[in-house]
Amino acid sequence: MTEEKKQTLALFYCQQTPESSEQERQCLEEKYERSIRLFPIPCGGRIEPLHFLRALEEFANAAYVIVCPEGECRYFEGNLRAKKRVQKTREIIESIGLEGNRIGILINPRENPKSLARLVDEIVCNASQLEPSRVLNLHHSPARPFH
Amino acid sequence: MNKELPEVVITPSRFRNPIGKYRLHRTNECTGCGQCVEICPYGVHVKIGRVLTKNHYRCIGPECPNACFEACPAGALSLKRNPTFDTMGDLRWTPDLLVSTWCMAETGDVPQGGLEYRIGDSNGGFDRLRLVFPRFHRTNSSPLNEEVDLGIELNRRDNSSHRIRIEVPFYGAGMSYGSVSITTMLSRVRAATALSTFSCTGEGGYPDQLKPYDDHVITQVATGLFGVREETIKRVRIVEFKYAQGAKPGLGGHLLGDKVTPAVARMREAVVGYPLFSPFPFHSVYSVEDHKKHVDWIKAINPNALISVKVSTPTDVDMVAIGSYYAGAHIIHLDGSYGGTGAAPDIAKKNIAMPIEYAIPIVHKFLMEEGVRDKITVIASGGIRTPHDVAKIIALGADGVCTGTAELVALECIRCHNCESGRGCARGIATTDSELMKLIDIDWGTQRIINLFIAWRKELIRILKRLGMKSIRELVGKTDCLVHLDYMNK
Amino acid sequence: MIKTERVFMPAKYMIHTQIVPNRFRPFTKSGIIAWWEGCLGCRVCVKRQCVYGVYRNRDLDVRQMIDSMDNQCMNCLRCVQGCPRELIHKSINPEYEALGDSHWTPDIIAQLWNQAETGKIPVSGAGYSGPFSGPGFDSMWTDMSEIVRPTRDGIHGREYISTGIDLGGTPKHLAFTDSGDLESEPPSLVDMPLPIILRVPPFGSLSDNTIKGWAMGARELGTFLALPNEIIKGELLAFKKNLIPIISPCHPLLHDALEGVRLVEVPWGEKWKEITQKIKEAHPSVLISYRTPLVRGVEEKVLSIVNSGVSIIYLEGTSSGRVTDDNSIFIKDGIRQTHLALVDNGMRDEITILAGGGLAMAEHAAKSIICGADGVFIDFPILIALECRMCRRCTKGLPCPVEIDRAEASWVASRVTNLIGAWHNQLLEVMSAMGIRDVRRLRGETGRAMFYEDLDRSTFGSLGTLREGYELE
Repeated sequence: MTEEKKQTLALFYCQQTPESSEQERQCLEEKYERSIRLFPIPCGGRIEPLHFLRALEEFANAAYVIVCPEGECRYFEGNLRAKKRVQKTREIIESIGLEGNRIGILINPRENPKSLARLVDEIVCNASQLEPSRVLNLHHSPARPFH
Repeated sequence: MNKELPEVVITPSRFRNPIGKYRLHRTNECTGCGQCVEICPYGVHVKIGRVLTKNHYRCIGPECPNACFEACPAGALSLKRNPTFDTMGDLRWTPDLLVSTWCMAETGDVPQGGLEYRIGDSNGGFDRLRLVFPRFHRTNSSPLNEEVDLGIELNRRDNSSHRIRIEVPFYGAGMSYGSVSITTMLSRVRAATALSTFSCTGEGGYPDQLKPYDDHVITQVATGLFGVREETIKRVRIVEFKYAQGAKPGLGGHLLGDKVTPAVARMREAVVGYPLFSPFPFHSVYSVEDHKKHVDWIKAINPNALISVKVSTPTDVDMVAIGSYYAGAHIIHLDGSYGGTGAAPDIAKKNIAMPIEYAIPIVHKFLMEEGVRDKITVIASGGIRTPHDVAKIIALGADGVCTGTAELVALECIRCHNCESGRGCARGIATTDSELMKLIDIDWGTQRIINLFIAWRKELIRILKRLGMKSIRELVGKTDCLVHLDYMNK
Repeated sequence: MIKTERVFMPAKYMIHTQIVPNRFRPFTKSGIIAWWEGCLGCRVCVKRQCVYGVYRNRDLDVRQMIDSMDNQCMNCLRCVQGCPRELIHKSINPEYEALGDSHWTPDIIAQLWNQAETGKIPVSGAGYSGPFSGPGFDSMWTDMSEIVRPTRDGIHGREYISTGIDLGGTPKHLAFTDSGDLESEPPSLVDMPLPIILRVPPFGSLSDNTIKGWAMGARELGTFLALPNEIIKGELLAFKKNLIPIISPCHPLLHDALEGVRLVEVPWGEKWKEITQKIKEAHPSVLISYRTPLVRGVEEKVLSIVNSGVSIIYLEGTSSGRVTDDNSIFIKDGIRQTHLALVDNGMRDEITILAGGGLAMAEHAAKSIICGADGVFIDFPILIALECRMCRRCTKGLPCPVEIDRAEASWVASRVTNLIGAWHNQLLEVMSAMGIRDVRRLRGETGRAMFYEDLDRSTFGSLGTLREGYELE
């Protein structure tokens, strides 16, 4: 099928992000319908290049991770590791000709950390500038069946 | 009066990274000045060339009066709760209780701060009961620690059987060979021997390696009759009939196929790899009279042995207790529903029979009314986790206690609830897999349990002294030493 | 030669279960955080030593971003405790915590998933890990019989434990003519091999295949599926013997709609007498169950209609296990009161009581029967068996994360069969521990149950008090 796919964003967020309960998550899903997919993770540091790559491969126009402010990570340095990994993933995708800004990290500011809803709004706004990903327009069968 | 006590030997975790409640982070701003090493009373930081945080687990947390993270001139240290800590344990064995027990097994003392070591989070029973102490007690009339007597007589009824006194008010409950390893069994029985008490073999037979400790072994005759022979009955001073088990009353023992290794199969005279389900009940016992025949059979083989009857806690537990008494038992051992097990259906663990906190007062009261309370020893088990639980259940009417899970936690059990699956315990405790067993060294295991019991002794002595008592026997049935938070009148 | 007739023993009721794989991945309670920056590359890496092989062949399910290592990890913490650089940690999984609600807890949901997948009774090592007691059914314990009972070895035993029940009242006495024939019509009964009836839940991302799968499961198990009458068409018509059409007064009842049906449900409200008459005219042998909300004092209402030909009542509680007009009262008390009211009036066997509302575990079925129900309805468990997370997205128009509507009917049927098979075995375990061989004997047996409020008060109500100059520890 090569009809225009609705642009979907994959958004990973640390569960410590303010106002990010299941209720709030579903509210955001309702607001943005199928254009965002939210994945809570126990720590920003759990994100790996693989998560981003698979998301871009399967359904996402762009993928972002929201992490806690510096010094606030419960695992001390998960947010820092996330930063490095986003950098690494950028390098990987740029090397195959995909725009680096399809991957991003949002570090919640230390003073007045923002709620999930606000952060998602910001990301959606920025990502609307992106062209549809060429990866998704490729006609390909899934790498493996879904179970 | 008290026999020679074994020494505490500091016995740290067998793992490289012991788990504690807190973790400290050291940034690159650290100058290596060593201030933290000097001010920390618990040895959390060390200086070996550089300065490192070697022992996170000893940190008592934000309540520490000599906070290293505040004192650090470079601001390089920060303290946070360890997120892994919160994934461990459950409501009965909370992470705090697990780490506290590990602390006792390492140091022979209760934790010095930062951990709740007296109650769990089950919101009922022991966890809602509190001991009542006078706020100030007169120290000049207090007995010395050495004078406080924690011993109990196990035979209170006749002179024809052994007169046995254990020096602590607890002995080890039956955990069978097959459900646990021989190293675990030996660690337990060796610790019991050092503390002049006993440990029970469980229903998996009587391994030869236990022979040197025969005088401190209780052999169990259970419904599967695994490994029960005249010879094993003759070797011991106490024989225990296991009619039922608290965690799965009405059901027999479960040993799943993967745990029936060649050694286990030999011991139990069974087939390798096939699951073993002990029947329920004893198919030769359908009445108290039948039970008496059982007792007579044992007495014929070993006339001086004490008889212990282990039952669980149905609504008519008082009838069961009195029946056992009249059939000749010296010890009635009640195993409450929240006790440990190698494997049991979850529905049985949660729902069948009553918790030990209800059963003991019922039996204590009934035996008093029947006029035989002082002729039989009532032992409680089933979820006794701490010295506080021991004190509470004795105050409710027990003479003493059986320990099970607490000993395994001393060996660093983490309550992952996977004892029964596959090769058994990945940490080497509840398994007979030859490779996994090697994770525990027998001397390490023995000392860990000795340390734990010594910590328990210290706590019990402290509790008795605060209650103004000189011996544990004074506490039996003293319900006025207890309040329950839901029924307390202020 | 004497010809002997071969007589066969009736087949023992057994539910055949098998592993039925999940279509998606379950959430686990905790997850692994394993960093690699700073890894020393030790020759003997703790990850390679993992007894469960969790780090081998890791796989990311991209639909939910679930890593297979979390599903396989058994929380032994050896890797956490062994890595020289302390790179491995564990974390509580926020998605697990977000499952369900305070009644349909994450642990209950995960246990239902597991039973639907494996068909096995949940068994685990170490002792009970939950709270001492709790509200509703959690405040009841069941009894066991110590020495003096007949042999029965639970699910492994030789003796047969019957879980069959009959629906439909039985008369107080039978009258015979002089020639020994029955004077009146024999009572009309429907028998079921187990006391659990399936019911389509009030929400869910359902398709025709889902309903068909449930109907297939009901048939396989020998029980029923209760569903709105208006959706019974097409392929479902073949399952009529195992369906309970729920009649709604707003939808007209077609003439042949109930052909081949054994049992039907009518709301006990407006027009119930009219609807009854209409049904009886067209299908005199169909049994009717009357549904009424379980409210305080419902027993009065029940007593009033026993003599008017009503033989089956369904008392329906809320989906969180409470009576509908008072959130503080649980269905167990409502069932108990109704049962006792009928017993006191000598009418108990003339009417069958079915109960439902928030039943989530096998023990709830057993305990409902102990409180006095003859049988129970379950709704959400058969949806959770299909990997439902009780996230309620379907009620908001959001897509179902586990695409229940796309599941094949045969998969649905075998998942439900597994779940009920596991529940049935657990019922046998509980009955066996009590020494009860017939589930009809379990009904109302509160003498063999223990209640938290009573026991707690009688044990602890008269302990010491906190006096001046004393403190607690």
